[in-house]
Amino acid sequence: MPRVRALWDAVRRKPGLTTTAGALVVLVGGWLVGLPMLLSFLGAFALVVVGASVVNGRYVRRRLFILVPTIVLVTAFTFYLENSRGDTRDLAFQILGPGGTEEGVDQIVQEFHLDEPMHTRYLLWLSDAVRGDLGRSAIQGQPVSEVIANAAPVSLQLMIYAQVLALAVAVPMGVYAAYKANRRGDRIASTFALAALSIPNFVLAVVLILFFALGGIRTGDTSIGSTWLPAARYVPFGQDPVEHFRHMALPAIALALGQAAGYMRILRSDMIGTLQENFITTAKAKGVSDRRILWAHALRPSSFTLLTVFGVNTATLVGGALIIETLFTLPGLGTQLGTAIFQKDFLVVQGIVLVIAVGFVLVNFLVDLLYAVLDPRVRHVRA
Amino acid sequence: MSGLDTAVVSTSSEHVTLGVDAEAAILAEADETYQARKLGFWFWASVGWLAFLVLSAVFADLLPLKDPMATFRGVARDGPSAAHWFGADNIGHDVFSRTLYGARRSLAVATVATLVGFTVGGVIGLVSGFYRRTLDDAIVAVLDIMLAIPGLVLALALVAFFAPPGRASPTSQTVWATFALSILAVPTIARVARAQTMVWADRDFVLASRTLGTRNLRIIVREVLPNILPAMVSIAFIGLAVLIVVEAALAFFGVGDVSGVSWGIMIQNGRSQVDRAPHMVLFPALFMFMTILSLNFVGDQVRTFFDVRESGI
Amino acid sequence: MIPSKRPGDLVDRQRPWVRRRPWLGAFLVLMLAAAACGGNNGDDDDAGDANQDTSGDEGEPVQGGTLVYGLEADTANGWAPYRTSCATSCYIPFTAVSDSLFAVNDDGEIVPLLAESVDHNDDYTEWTITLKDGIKFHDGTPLDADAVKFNIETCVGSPLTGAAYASVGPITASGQTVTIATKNGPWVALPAYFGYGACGYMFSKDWLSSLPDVPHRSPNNPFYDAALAATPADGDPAAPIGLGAFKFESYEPGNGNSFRAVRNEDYWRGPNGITGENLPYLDAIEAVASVDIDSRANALRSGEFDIMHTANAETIAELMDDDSVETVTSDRYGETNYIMLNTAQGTNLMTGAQIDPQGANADNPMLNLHCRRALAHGIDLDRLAEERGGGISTPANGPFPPGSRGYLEDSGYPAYDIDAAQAEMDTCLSDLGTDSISFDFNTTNDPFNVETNTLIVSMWQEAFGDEVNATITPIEQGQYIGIALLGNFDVFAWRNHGGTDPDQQLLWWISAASAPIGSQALNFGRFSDEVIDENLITIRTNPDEDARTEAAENINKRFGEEVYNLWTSWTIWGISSQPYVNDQVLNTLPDGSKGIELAFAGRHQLNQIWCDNGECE
Repeated sequence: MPRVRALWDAVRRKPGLTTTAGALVVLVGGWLVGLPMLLSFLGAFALVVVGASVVNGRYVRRRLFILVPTIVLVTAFTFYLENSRGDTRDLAFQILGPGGTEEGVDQIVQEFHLDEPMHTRYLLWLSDAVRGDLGRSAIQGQPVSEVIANAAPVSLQLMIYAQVLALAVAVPMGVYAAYKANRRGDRIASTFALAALSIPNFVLAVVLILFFALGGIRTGDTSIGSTWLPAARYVPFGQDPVEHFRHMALPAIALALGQAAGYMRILRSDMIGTLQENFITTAKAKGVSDRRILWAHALRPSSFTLLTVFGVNTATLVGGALIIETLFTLPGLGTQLGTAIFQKDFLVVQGIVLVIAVGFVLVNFLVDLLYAVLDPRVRHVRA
Repeated sequence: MSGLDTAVVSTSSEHVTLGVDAEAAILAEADETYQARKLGFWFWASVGWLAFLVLSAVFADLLPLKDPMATFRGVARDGPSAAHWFGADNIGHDVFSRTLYGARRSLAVATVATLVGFTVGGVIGLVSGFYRRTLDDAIVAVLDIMLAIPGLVLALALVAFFAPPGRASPTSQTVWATFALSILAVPTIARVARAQTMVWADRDFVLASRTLGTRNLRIIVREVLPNILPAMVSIAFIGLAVLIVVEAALAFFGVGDVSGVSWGIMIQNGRSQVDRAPHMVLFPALFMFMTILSLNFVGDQVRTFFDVRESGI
Repeated sequence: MIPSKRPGDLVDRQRPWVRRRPWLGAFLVLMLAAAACGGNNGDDDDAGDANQDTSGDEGEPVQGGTLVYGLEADTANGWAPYRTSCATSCYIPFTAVSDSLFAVNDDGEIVPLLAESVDHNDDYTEWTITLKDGIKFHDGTPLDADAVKFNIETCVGSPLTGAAYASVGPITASGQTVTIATKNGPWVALPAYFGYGACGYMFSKDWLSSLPDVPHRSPNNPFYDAALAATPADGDPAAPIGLGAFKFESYEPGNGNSFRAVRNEDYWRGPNGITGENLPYLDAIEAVASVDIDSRANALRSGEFDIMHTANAETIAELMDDDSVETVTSDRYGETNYIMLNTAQGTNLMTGAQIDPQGANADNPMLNLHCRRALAHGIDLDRLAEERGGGISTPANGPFPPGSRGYLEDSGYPAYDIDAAQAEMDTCLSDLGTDSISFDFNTTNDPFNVETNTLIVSMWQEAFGDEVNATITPIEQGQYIGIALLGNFDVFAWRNHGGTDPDQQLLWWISAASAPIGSQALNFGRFSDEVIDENLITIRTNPDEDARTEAAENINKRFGEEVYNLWTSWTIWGISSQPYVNDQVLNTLPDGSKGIELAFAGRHQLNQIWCDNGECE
């Protein structure tokens, strides 16, 4: 009894921390035990929401309230735009090709309700989606949920590797640059960052492929470059971890470089501000080492903007990085979405957009919560 | 940043910075050195590059350039030469002339989109940040929705919806592509404007105005707006840079008018030959890089110039 | 998702007509005198193959290895002929898991493969096919007349493939003998339609009948079978059961995902089979869709792919120059790249209907013959082949490439001639009473094709200055077919018309196929020409080979006169592979004779490929 009482006190005192920990337990435990992913996901999410609402209930409830309308509006908007182009029978022509019979075309038009008014079609889709039925790809015949289930891990992995890489590079550099603010170290670092930020990532990808997979530029007998890393394709982690990372190396770098530059600049900028605060001066006066000041005292309060931007980027990357995936032939959500848009495979588009919207909104929501939990003062001011 | 793959880097300007050397002794002295070091050589170099680009794009017709749409026999894929300073592309176009003319489309689309985004986003952000409460909640919700739609889906759908191929001229396709880009730009600019407005609208001098009974509109226009402009201008420059890249990325996917000249189209066409004839990608990419770099740099400097650290006042 | 970048303007997956590759009855050809009419004998090296270099096969084939094949597109709707939109990329998996009733030998003649022999009655209204004994599908069921009948019926009754088989009448099956009666009179080239195309590939009846959308389960379908409809419909359309060298193992759709098949130990041409051969040599084949051509070529060079195919002439030329890979090319019986002109007007000669009732095409300058001829004269095809065709593609002057029946060295099609162009344009302008013509030029969305067609437009500008205002209008893949089918275009880039027998083109060119603008029509340009109609009917019904050849040539000449289409080049396909891959396109038939190797738009056999040391790396 006293243990339970102690536990309950701990929960009450630090609700954010305990519920987050609980959420992680549910996620990992659920995966180990073999719960359907959706269930453990929902459980973890519920816990986090509960924890956050204890900290700041009204805020949480407001944000939660607009979650659903956001998702509905995003999908409705996409549906309308995607399906009002061209001829209503275009999808049928796609599937059957020019040789299709008129009856065949009519059959497909009926099957996909192509001749019904837009709002009817959207509501039909919505009512199915709510029940978990996202339909089948008109072109591939596969259930949309399967398409997504196969493509999502690829995009998520790319996102995670790129973001981790970006942070791993950006944080030390940002701290260093702030430390050496406006002196040579900073100027060099900042110039690099600005340059890296200015390279479009598809140009970077082309250059990376050229120099690391194709053997570079050859002039006469000499060539600068190597063929060490593969230029395309995807190998699942479960199949061969080493190959998996070799194949993901170039795509992750291409994506991460620009992001790292952006993060570094943001962190540097915030940190310079923080380093001029009184409590830093006090710590310095007390004799705390520079390194400890930077990492243990200054870093945390300087990371809010970084967290915001990081969150938004992560949320966007949930939908896959379309250009990178295409250039490297990675079968992720971005490729699937792009292909489906161009082929007017509207059920796949809707399914993926739904997942993207949900992912985006959720990640943003979580970042908001994290924000509020990390520093109650800035709860109301997040832009 | 491609802009289609990742969100625009939004610098929320609650945390502002001053590039002052922290070891300067007196604030006034620091101010002076600060002012003197303000707009250094590189700033003016960047401005110079941008000016050169804009002027040559605007007056391209007057310059002795070859016709960018003319294909010359027998020079396809040749490198730089006396006749073709930047070489020729896949079908014999003059790369130099196309690079300069291509600036037109890239700059025009991105600039118009940024201006529109700046205006619309600015107004929305101002209103939202000033009036707060439910209006703010509603506007933020709408902005979030706009951000949640994947960039390519939005751009493609908008262009294809308003300017379907076969029924719309290439010009109108470019116009609608611009429109799509400005829609992409609005949420970010609005959020920055909103954040800035919220910070400034809480200030004492605004409170003072209110007490005096000044109408809200007047307060917004005369007190708040001038103060948020610097941050917004800075964001606008950076946003411009991002939109140039997004426009190129759209060309990559054949969205909008693919038959004209723009840097994105040039890069996409030259991509397959990058190991054999790198000049086709190199020059437009270089121009793009320098332009983006200049814009980023100018945007940075503008912000540093105007932003003042909170506790210094 | 980037639409394919090939000189022609259509993504393979949208062209099911590719599967309707016609055959000539072996005995029809045997009745021919030595055929030298304008070099239509497939062995003419100059005209036919650009590079049939199959060197690299050293020594005896070795068992073993998994071959990874980079494809240019994914295939929609699984792997059953009646429901799969089959283009070149689809034939690799098809050829891996099954074989077709007939094969084509190196002379372009149809020869039995799964069939033992084929016969017909005097007036070509009834065909009898006798199957070989002892061939089994991967699920153990035998290849018998019943199975073949079922296969053919699925194709006849399917909304996807039915249009091409509309003339197939009642089929009877007994033992190993299948008899097909025709509707609509004599059909001289019928075997061709069950030979090389998708519907010639045989699949297990058990598997086909278990598929949910097979025509026999559909109540409104003429082949509806209530008993069958009552059986469970739990078959997987994406898990084909054929009788080929490899057995299906797994398939994940989508760009970057793969189709896997493993060696069939009981292959009918294998060690446990009926022909005394030892095929296949490979352990497994993995086919991977890689839509972006650069990505695919890079993957080949870096060893990710062991072998790949492409119709992008530039890439082929580069690969041919690259010593680290081996490249085989061919345009035999291949397709033609061309630009369709919408000539819809007036009355349909066969159906009597108005072709353009609403006058949607009335302002199109392409209605005027002189305008068409002017544009044709204004395109420098040699320059086009040089700059866009990698220097290896052949300028076309008609729909029949060298080596195909109907090919003519001089077809009367307007050659590049600026003066003639100007003269025709002057007539055109004065006819229309204007001083310039304008039209929209539709092309697929991908940059390569846009560039190629931009070059063509700039050639017109060079020739005609301001007199011609052509606006390049890129169209995304999803709308491309629809626009062509419905006739909503002025000028439209396309690719089509491959195959050994011109009978296959009837569906595209006959007047009856010209429905009004706004309705589906296979004759996209909607021309209604009595000379072409007449000759098409000769080709279909007249068994005399000389007459058929002459008819094809007449059609070629007519196209040259009327310029319904602007021919640009004959499509060349290339198979590139790493050096350790051998006999990439070898096709020795069971009787030891030489089968056709790379042809029909990039298709070739897989069952005779082997890798050095039994390892494909």
